[in-house]
This record gives sequence, structure tokens and C-alpha cells, in this order.
Amino acid sequence: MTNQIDHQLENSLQQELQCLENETEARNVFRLAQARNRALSQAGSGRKKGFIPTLGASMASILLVAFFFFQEAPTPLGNETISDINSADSAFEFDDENVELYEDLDFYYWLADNEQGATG
Amino acid sequence: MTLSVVEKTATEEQSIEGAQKALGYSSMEEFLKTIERRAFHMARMATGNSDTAMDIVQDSMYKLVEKYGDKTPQEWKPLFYRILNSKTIDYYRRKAVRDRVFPWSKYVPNSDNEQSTDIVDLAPGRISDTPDEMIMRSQRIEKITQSVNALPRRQREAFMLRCWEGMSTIETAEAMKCSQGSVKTHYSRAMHTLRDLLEDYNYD
Repeated sequence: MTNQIDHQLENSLQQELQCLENETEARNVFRLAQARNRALSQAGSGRKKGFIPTLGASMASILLVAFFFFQEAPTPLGNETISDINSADSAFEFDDENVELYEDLDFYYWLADNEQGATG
Repeated sequence: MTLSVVEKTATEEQSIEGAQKALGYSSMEEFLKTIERRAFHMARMATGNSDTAMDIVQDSMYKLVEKYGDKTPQEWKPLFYRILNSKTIDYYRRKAVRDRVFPWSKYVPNSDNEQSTDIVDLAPGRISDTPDEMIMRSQRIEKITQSVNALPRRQREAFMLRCWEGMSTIETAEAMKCSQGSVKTHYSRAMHTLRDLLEDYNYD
């Protein structure tokens, strides 16, 4: 008896649900057709097409980062540079003094000889 | 020898054609056409929202075509319903997280309750019965929908696949990723609950 009731209920529900299915609103039928066509057209090539731009974009960003990372940036004018410049300048100045010293060397030799002659 | 091979191939082709005729579809497009409305209503019953149901059906179609397009047409139906069930579960999970994070989102009115004003949108898929019969039917459908929604998820899946889709126990077990015994138990419990819930429903 229960089986018979279950069977009747099953049949009845099946009919009702099929009616529901047949009476799908026009708007939803249209959207389903759109969804189907989209799935059929995109699924075959969608991932492959999307893969290449993604790979390209990631490679480009990596290259860009690498380019900026390894590029020689203009070094800021720090203390070290200033001291380097100063030492170079001072070396240059020192060299000038030496040249003058060498140029006057004959005079110092003459002066020394005169002093030795006066004392000797 | 060659003739026997040719005959054998011809017999195999005939049997494949016979199977395709029995299925009612041979290409993926035909299959999706036969299944889309039912899948949509199943998803709508499960989620209570047309837009969400449409998204779920579209995602399921997409995945079936993409991943299982090379399978035989006999395998498509269980695979499609397995995907549909997975997508529906994903929706429940996302909704649970969203409701926890944004509790106020639970109180957003359901778009299905808003009546469309476009007469084309309201038009049924077929020209049918008198208004009284239509109202009676819509009330019965509403009652059935409520009762089906009251079922636990696995029972609802078993009911929809067995009763609505008319799948065999083997196919249902494949779609639900469980044993045939479990399918029988879920379906039996679902029918028992529905019998109680639809006590006043006239199904003679």
C-alpha cells in the first residue's frame, strides 16, 4: 500500500516538475540559450587564449623589475663622494706646492752653500 | 576476413547510433539543450534565486564542455549533474562565509520575489491552460518547492536525479559519488519525508 502511494506521489511529482520545466519563462530560456552558446564557443579555446596574455604579462613584469633592479642608478652625493672629491683636490694642491718647491730648489741649494761658506 | 571486419564495424556503428537515439542526443549542444531547463530549475530550487541558478548552470556547462567534452555521450549526464551538485555546494559554502562576514547581506531581498513588469519576461514557454489552472499549478509547484527545499541536501539530490531526471540508481550513484545502497536510502528517506510534508497534496 505504501509502495503504491509512493509510486503515485512519484508520478505526480514528476508530472508537476516537468510542467514547471516546460513553463520556464521566456527570459530564462533565452538566458539559458546564451549560456549554452557561450559555453560551447568559449570552453574550447578560452583557457588557451587567456593563458598567453597572462604569461606575457607576467614575463613583462619580471623583465621590468629585473631591468630596474640591475640598472645603474645615479649614486647620491653622499659623504664618501665629497671626501673623495676633497682628497683629489688636496692632492692636486699638494702637487702644485711640490712643483714650486722643485722650481725653487736651486735657490735653496745656493742659499745653503752661501751659509756654509760664511760659516766655513 | 575483411568482410567480417567491415560487418563488425557496421554493427558497432549501428549500436552506437541506437544508443544515441535512445539517449535523445548525439552532440554536446543537443545534450545541453535537453538538460538546461531542468538543471536551471533544480539549481533555482536549491538556491532560491534565478540569477545564481543561471550562473551555476552556466559554470557547469562550461566545465562539462571544457573538461569532459571528449567523453562518450552516455557519460555526460552523470558528469553534468555531479558538476552541478559541486557548484551548488560551492555556492552554499560561499554564502555561509559571506553571511558570517557580512551578516546584513542575509536581509537583502530576493530578486525572485520582485515581479517583473515586462510582459515578455512573464510569458510562459508554451501557450497553455486557463488562468485558474495556472494558478492552481503554481501553488502546487510552490508547495512542492518548499517541501523539496526542506529535505537534507543528499536526499534532495537523490530525489531530483531519480524522480525528476529519471536516472537509474547506478547513474545517480555515479552523479552523487556514492554507493547504490546510499542512493536507495537517500531516495527512500526523501520520498518518506515528502509524503509527510505533502500530506494534503492531491496526487491522484
